Amino acid sequence: MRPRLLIYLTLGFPDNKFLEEFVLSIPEGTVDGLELGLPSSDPRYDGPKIRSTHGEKSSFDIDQIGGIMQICRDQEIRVNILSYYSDIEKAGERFLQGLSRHTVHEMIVPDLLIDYTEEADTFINRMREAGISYIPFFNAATPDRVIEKYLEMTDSWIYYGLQPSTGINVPVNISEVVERALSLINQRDIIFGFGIRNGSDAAEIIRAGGHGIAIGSAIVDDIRRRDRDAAVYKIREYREALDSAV
Amino acid sequence: MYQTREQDIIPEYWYNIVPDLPEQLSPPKDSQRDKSSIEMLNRILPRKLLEQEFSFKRKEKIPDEVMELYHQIGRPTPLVRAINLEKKLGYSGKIYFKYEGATVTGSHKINTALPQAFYAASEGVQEVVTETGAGQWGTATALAASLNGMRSKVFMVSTSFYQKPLRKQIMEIYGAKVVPSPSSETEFGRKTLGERADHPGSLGIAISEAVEYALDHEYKYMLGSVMNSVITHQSVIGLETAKQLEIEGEEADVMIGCVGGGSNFSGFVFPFIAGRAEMIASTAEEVPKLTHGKFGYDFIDTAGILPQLKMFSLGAGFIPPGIYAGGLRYHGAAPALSMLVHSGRIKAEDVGEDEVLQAMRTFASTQGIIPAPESGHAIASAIRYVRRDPKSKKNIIVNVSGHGLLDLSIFSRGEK
Repeated sequence: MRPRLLIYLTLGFPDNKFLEEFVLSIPEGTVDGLELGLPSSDPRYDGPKIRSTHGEKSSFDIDQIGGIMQICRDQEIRVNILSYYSDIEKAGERFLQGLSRHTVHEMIVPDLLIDYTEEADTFINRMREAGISYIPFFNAATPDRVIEKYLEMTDSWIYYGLQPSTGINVPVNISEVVERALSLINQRDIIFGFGIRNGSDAAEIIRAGGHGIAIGSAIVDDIRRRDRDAAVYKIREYREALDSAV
Repeated sequence: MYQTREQDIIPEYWYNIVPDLPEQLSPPKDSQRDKSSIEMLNRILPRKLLEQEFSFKRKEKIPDEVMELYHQIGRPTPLVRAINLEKKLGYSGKIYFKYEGATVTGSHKINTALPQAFYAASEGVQEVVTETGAGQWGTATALAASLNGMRSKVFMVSTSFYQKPLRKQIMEIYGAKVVPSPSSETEFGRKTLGERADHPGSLGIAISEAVEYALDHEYKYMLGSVMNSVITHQSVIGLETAKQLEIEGEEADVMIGCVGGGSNFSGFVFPFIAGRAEMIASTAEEVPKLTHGKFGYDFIDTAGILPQLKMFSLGAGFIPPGIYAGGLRYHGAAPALSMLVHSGRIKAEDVGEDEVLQAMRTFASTQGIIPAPESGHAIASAIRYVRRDPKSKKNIIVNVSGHGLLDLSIFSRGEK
């Protein structure tokens, strides 16, 4: 199967009009999915690059995702939302209803299994009732028993972070991390993200058995400069690296 | 003393508890929006150590070179049945103590100083930098650096620097340069001294100075406690204990240790975490981080250069009283230990000075060992446990993390 390439963008950065134009400019067949981050006042598991794409305030109108969701449907790009539970909790009941209204089917909540373990199971069920799959987010610090439990509770693909936060680089043996993930997670696609610096990292993940990657920090500076061509160029490079690793 | 062939006892691997924790550890958190203090660790820590810090591997091979040094500095340390103490207390069960004071530097600290210095030297580093409170960690760093052919610099909390000249002297004999903290050698030290010229210092301030100094001079910084990698190295204590108990044909029912940053305690009990043993963390009444601290993100160091960790903390700005047990003055405790205390798997209790001094006297007069005042807390907690039910048949295992031969003044002068 062809490795999947997901790109991460933060809603409203630099503005939604640019984001919509950018998504439209991505060549067909390059990107398999869009991970759309919702603005957070405390994106604490993100590194400095992604943090810089979040404003100071987390309040926003959920209907702002409407435009980009429509474009992705037209372009047949699968979308998953990324939102911190600390923000979801503040937004209340209307949040999940809003996501459903805009046909969101998948969501990553990076802090849910770490800081909100007591609420996690209930929230995952609430998501399911709203027609939204919870995408488990694991990393090197996720204990085996937590991985086993949430594999049982879910049936989606898995997001696995290579680094302790996005876009940073501490020493990690990519092959060992991928092997560990594969040894615990069977029959499910695993997409690796967090600190994939270049095509070489991407290819190593695929060669070790990963099913795809997500990139975000790598294109933040281009997006900030509204340089679509530069961002698309980088995305193509990752695509080629993924394809060449198969 | 417990005797057997040492190679049967020292483990080949350290144990990392992270994949076996009941919940996921919260990752370190950056403090500044536009910088990554996690990534900054690349500049001050050896690559291999940083890899271990974020590792999911249960077992980490002890390098052959470190194993050889472990033999040289007195590992395995003895596990001794405290028969005299049992008699004195009229206890029906058994009390064992793991004696980390038997290492050449007199405490458990050398267990992690050796691998950290080895990893730094392997990268061609010429000098390592660290802080010390009571002096045990600085002593271990000084020796580990020399054994690995490097220089060392130690920022010693000012109160200890002046109250413990012998500790300073030992570090210097091992080859370290020792300065009182706050010092005029770093920007943070100068700022702190500017606010209060006679500042007594704290471990948080000394850590800040050591990290700043390492960054400025491109040296490597040595981690004394709190971090996962340190606790992984300290698991040598618990793994040896498990083997020694197995040879003895006994099992641990109760495990007791003292907590400063949490490394001796965690290293002692974590290898037993899957079992049924009751675990008690003993802290100083004056620094009640586990019983009265807040469980949440806080700074490791006072200056906030290092990332924040989710842990029990009294606040990074906490200036502890100049207590008799300097090693317990740190404001926080290791994240994995904090999580297990928060979940109730590990119990915590505070012990006051009078009770500790009495316990130290009792231990010295029955077992002949003058324990470090920090370890005195563990002994006091063990005595408390026995007194609650002297007829119990439980095996109580106590980690005596160091000797107290350089702390005798607390007996004669009542020094605080």
